[in-house]
Amino acid sequence: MKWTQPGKARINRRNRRIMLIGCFFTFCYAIIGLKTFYIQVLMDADLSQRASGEYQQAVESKPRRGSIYDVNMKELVVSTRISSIGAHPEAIEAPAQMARKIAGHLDVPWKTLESRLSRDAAFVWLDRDASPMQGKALKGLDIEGLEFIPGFCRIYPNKTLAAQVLGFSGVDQKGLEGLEYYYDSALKGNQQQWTIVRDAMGRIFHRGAACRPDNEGKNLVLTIDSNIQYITEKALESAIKENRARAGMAVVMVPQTGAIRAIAHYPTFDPNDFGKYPAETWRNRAISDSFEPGSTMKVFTVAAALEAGIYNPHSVINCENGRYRTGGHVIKDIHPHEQLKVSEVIQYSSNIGATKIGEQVGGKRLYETLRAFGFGAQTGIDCPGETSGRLRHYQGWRTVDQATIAFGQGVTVSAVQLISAISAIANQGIVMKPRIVKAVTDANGEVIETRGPETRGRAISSKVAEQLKSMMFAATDSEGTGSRAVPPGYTVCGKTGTAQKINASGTYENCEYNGLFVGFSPRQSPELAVLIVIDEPQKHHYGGVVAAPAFRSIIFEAFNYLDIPRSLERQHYEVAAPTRKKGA
Amino acid sequence: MAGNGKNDRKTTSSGITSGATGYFLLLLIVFICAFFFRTWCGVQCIRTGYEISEAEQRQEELLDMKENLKVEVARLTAPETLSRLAETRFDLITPKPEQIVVIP
Repeated sequence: MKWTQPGKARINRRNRRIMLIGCFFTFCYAIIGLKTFYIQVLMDADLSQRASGEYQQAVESKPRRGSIYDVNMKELVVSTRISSIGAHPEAIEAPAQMARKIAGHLDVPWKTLESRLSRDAAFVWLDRDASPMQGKALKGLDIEGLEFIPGFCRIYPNKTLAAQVLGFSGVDQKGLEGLEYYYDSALKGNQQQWTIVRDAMGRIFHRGAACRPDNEGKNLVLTIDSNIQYITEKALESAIKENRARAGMAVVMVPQTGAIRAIAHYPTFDPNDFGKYPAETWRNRAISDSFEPGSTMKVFTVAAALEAGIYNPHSVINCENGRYRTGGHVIKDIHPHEQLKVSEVIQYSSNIGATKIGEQVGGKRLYETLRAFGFGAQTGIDCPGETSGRLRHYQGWRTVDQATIAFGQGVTVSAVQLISAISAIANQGIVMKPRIVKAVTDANGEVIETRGPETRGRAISSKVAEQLKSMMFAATDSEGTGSRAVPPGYTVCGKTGTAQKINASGTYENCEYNGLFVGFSPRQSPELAVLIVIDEPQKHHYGGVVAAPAFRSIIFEAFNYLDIPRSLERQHYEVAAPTRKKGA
Repeated sequence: MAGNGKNDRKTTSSGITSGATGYFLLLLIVFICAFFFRTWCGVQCIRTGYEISEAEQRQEELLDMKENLKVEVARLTAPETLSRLAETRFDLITPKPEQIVVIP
């Protein structure tokens, strides 16, 4: 069949209409396409930014401050989460009523809250260390004008234990004293920032990575052993109370490694509430304060003589029957002696014997030996405020200075210097750097830095060290000045010291003394070196009476804890000696 | 033959039309399925996002709880606490050196 003309025309018209509609739709699609291109391609960055600004939020916060552990990984300092709660008083209606409502959820009296909420201030703190649970409960009350700021609080679970070593940090988590201050940058970590994505309802839909591990606060692992620290603190406190002393300190160290096991002070303070204690109790005096070492210095004078080969332990010194004039001054012994062997100068703590040995050694050699033991310079221990003590150059010494320095006057040392020097004798003459931080770990507990033993040099030969050990051993036998330092079943090498204190005007006080005992045990393989300093004891003042019993107690209990077996070793070394009075 | 030719053309025309419609419907179904699948994925993604967010919050709470428990353990095992408990609750004392006898 052939198409008729009118039919053809109708088809053409229809096709034109279809074409027209097609063109119209094509045009519309083209406009939509162009608009899409404009939105998706040309305006992409701008619109994405505007959109993300509405549902994304950048949050900044401080990371959790690192913890501090003892050598056995027991927590000494930790941070816990808290909620600091503040308020905008102008937004609070009926402060009294609101205070009662809030007080039910906080550990703050409602009267205090009411006075704070009634203040004419833009913002007031209600409770700066509320627990997260308290914060959550208050949030649930939906009170307008309250502000909740999450944060962290520093907790010292052992309270006063090693308080001066650990120090403390302030409300803003900044270290203010002790290791908290010294290692502040490592402990606090870096400010962290992350992104929160919220949905249309304001709910958190996605959190970005909260923080990179290297931003978190690092942890410190100390060489301190909390059990030995406790034993030391108890023994020190007992010695101070018994002798009615003003203050005291004690240091325990491992001679071979320089690891500090305990640093105790009395009086002490609680870092959880440091503001309630006098500021002078905060200081780590074993590091920052110096004192005259008294007779404990005789060991080092004799070391100089033995090292120089001027004397041997059996050389005899004329002790002038208790009075000896030198440099226009008279040196006295508490218990007069005619003649003493060099070893007996240590055993009976003769000032005249030490003076004469010092004179023979000479200023230069004595000075060099004392410097080799670390006196007059900082030990480099990782604690803030270390003193270098006072040891003047030998060229500035007068005759009497040389004499007095030989028995421990006119020179000052810190407790950590003295324990470090005595440890060198226990360690075959090698001086170790005292250290208090064993390792640094990251937030996950992975070790990122280990601090091993460091040698500071050799002060004396191992032969001389052995000779000194024998002399110090004799000083703690039944005839020596340090006999009260020996616990049954253990051998002790030690030296007593009694030093007059210097007043503010630079002269010696007649009735103010420091009583000291420093030594190590057991003799054959020393495990611990201990220094006890009792400041201004009232009952007695001799180091052998006030400080030695504390040494005995520490060694006994610490060895019991460390499971170091008792022995009858002393019988093999028993030194026969004439009976003399004990004391200084 | 002419009648046959006309019938063939009709058959061919409707065959092509129904074939195209079939393909079109198939394509539409595929598109609709893809659209629903994509929507389902989006919903799942959002739901998982909420779950992750909640789990992270829970993890933080548990970590805080762990820290608090660590503090509590440290408090309870502090040498001073143990010593006080031993003395007050169990009547124990630290023996003096003289009170200890070493059995050889």
